[in-house]
Amino acid sequence: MAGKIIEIRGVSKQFKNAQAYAVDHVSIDVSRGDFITIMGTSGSGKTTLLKMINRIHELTDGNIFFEGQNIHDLKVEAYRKKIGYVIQQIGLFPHMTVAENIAVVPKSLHWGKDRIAARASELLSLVHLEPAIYKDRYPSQLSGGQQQRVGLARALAADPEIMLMDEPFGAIDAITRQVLQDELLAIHRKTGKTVLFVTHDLHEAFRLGDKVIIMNEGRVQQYDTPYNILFHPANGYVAKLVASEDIIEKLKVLRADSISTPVQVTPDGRVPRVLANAPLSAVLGKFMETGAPQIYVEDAQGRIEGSILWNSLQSIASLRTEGAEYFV
Amino acid sequence: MSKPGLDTLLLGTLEYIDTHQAAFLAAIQRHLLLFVIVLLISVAIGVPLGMASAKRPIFSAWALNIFSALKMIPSLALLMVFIPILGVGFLPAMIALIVHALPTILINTYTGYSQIDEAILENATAMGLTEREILWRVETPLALPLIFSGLRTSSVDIIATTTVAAYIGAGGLGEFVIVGITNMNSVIMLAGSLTVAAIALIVDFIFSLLQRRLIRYQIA
Repeated sequence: MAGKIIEIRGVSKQFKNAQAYAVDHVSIDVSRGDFITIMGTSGSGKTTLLKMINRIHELTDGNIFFEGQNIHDLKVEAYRKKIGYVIQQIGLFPHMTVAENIAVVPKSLHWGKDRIAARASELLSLVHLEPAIYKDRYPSQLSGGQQQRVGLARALAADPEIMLMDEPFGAIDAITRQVLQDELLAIHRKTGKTVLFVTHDLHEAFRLGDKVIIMNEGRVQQYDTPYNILFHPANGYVAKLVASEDIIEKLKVLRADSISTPVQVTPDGRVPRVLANAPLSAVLGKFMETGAPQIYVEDAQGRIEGSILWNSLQSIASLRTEGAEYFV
Repeated sequence: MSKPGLDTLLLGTLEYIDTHQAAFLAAIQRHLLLFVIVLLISVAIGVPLGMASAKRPIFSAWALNIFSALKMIPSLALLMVFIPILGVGFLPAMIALIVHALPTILINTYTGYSQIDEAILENATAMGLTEREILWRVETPLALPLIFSGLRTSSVDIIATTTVAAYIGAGGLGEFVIVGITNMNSVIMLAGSLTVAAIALIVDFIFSLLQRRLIRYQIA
């Protein structure tokens, strides 16, 4: 299953009547199954980069390869059907019910009626909307959070190879956003889909991404794991972005599974547990609360993925961000 | 002549209609025929033109301006303008009525297609739908409520203006109104105008029922 699904090679974008490049010679590989967040301020080129992948924007320069094929040579409609697309404005079709919205791409691919209905129910369950209650509702009858769940289900409808998400939770209240983030992570684990997720929120980028692309002024500043970006920033811009003297702040944005190691022995039932996507600050809390020397990291189904020793958490606290000399 | 009461007037009107049934039915038929033909031709021209205007900004600049201007011309003036060119009769009346009805249909169609949320269209494109699929499965259903309200407005308008078109020989219920006015006979005038009003109300009601079905998704 591994291998590169997307290869971006020297890609640039210059919009009409714009002097500067929106995206400036970007080269990135995306491996199959990765959850990658693209983080930057507005105008950093993150959304433009994302929208070049499904050819909403055409490239000015460079090439993008999908499963080894230049996307410019692919039939654009067929190619786009392999890509799920979720945006902040949601953009559900208001004249279609929830089930009809989900059915759009499958219908266009000439799936049978029964298969489409079964798929809609399956996906609504996946995004935690009871199919019997929601499938015949219109988007205007749903809350913003529910609408974006449908948006997610619709994007997944034809079992795409890759999901492109442009600040999908940007317009959703903080509490619902966190619930949706957790569910997205669970869906990613369950389906193994490749996800490219654009956000301007550093916490969200670190919380969701296995790897994070930091962009500024159209260029990739760093493409690495949250841990490495925090403790080994590639340049002054990144260092400044993640700069925080406060160790708790750093623990808040790193996930438990970023420092956990596989469990060697038979799991001990008495060892306290945290969820894999819990922040390390929660792990710290657990250590303080229980006084245990070790904590297990488990997935949503309760399977143990690894463990964190008190010593390894403590060693993070003593790490200094490299490149502190960037700050003057 | 003493002023008759309202009840006498209405009773007289009903009696007049009853005693002139054949002429009355023929007038209604003629009125409705003109209405249906004018509406169909206006839709056949106005809807595609409105769609094209929404899709091609260069096109919309002149099409919308011309038709907005046409809309300003009072209906009676418009009818008279055609007399020197086409003479009088059914055909000139029909053409004048089409010119009168077209702007509303065209402008509503244009607005219907133009007001669709960008995000919805971007999603449709990103989902890999072809332009044709987007037009028929997304854009047209979303434009339909506004197109339809244009039809409804201009339908009532056509029915009313057809009455005036009797002045240039269109026939229809307007003839009763004209005869009534020239002879200072309120009963004949009312027989014509009340029937026109009733037809307009009925047509409007039918459209409102259809409209409610069309936009059921908006009544959440």
